[in-house]
Amino acid sequence: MTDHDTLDAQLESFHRIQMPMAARSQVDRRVGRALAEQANGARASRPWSRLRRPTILAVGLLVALGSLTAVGAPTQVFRLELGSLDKDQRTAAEINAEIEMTKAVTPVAPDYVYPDLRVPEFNEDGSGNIYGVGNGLTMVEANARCGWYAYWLAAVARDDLATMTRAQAMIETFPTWASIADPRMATQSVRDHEASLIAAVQARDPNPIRADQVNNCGG
Amino acid sequence: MTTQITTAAGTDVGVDIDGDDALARRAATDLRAFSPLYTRHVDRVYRYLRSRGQAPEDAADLTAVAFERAIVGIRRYESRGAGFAAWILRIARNAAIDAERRRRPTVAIDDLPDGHHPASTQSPETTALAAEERRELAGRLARLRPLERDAIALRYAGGLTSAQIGAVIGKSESATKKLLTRSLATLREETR
Repeated sequence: MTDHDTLDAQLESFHRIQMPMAARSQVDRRVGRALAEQANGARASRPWSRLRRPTILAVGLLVALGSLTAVGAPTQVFRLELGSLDKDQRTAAEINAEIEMTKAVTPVAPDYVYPDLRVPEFNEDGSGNIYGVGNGLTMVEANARCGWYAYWLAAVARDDLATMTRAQAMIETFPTWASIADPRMATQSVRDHEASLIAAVQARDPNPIRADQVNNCGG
Repeated sequence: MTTQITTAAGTDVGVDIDGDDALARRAATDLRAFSPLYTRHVDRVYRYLRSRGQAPEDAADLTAVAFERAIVGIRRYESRGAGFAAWILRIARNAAIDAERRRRPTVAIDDLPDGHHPASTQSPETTALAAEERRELAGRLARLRPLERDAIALRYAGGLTSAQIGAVIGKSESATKKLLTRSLATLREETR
C-alpha cells in the first residue's frame, strides 16, 4: 500500500462520523415540520371563495365549538388545546400531502408499515371535511409511536435486551416529537399519558403498553 | 442479534447528480420531492459539520438549519454542474460560518470522540492503535490552514469531487485540485 493509499484510507475512516439516533430524530422532525409549514404556506394563498358551501358551514360550526378534533391512530382522539383559528384550517388534500411528507422523515421501527392514513375530502353524505394544521403530522407520529411500542413489546416477549434498549432510546425521544410537544397538537393529558408509557418502558413493565396498544393503537 | 434501526430515510446513495437535479426541480413545485433529497444527504451534511469542529448538538442544529433554508430556497436551486450535494453543503457551510462568527467552535476537530465513529469489531490492541492513529491524524488536520481543512472535510466527510468542492468554496476546479493536492502533501509530509 502506498503512502497515498494509506493516508486516503485514514482520512476516509476519520471522517466516517455517525449522527446519534436521538439527534437524527430531532433533525428529522424539524425538517418535516419545515416541509409541512412551507407546503401549507404555499397553499394558504388559495382563495376562500373556492371552498364549497358545506365546507364553510362546517368550518363555522367547528370554530363555534372552539375546538377541532384530529383523528389520531385508530380510536385515538386529540383536541387542540387552544381551539383553532381560520389560518390553522387545512383541506384533505393539504393534510394528505402533510401525511406523506411526515412519513418520509419520521423514524419507524424495523418492518413497521403504516396503515392507510389518507383522509377523505368529503363525507359519505357529500359534505366537505375540514382539518386542522398538524393533523397529518399527528396521525403519522401517533402511528409511528404505536409501532415503536409494539417493537419494544415484541422484544420483551423474546427477552431481547439489546432490542429493548434500542427501542427504549427512541421511545424516550417521544416527548420532543411535535405531536406531543406542540400545544396546538396535544393537550397536557396527552403529554402525561405519553410520560406514563415511557415510565412503564423504563421500568420494563409491559402491562400499560399492552393496554395502550389495545386502546389507542388498534391492536 | 443485530437489528438495524431503520427510518424512512434510505442510506447514502452518493452524489447521483442527475437524480438529485430532477428531484430538486420537482421539489420547486411539489415539496414531496424534497424528502428523498433530505434522506440522501442528511448524513453527509452532519458529517461535514462535525468535521468542521462543531459539537454534536450544534452540528445537528446546523444540519436542520441547512435543510430548513434549503426548503425555503429550493425554488432558486440551480445545479450549475455541481449538483444538490454541493448546493446543500454550501448552505451548511454558510450556516456554520454564521454560527462560528457568533461563537467559537466548542469542539476542535482533534477532540472528535471515538464514540461518534462506527463501533469497531477489532481487537482491543488494534482498536487502541486505530484511536492513536486518529488522534495523530486529527493533530495534523488541525495544523492545516482553515481553507485546506475545509476542502479536506468537503472531500472526505461530504464526499464531493474537486469540481463540487470548488463550487462550495468559490474556487475553480483546477485551483481546488491544487488546494487538495497541497493539503494532502502537507498531511503526508508530517507523517515522515
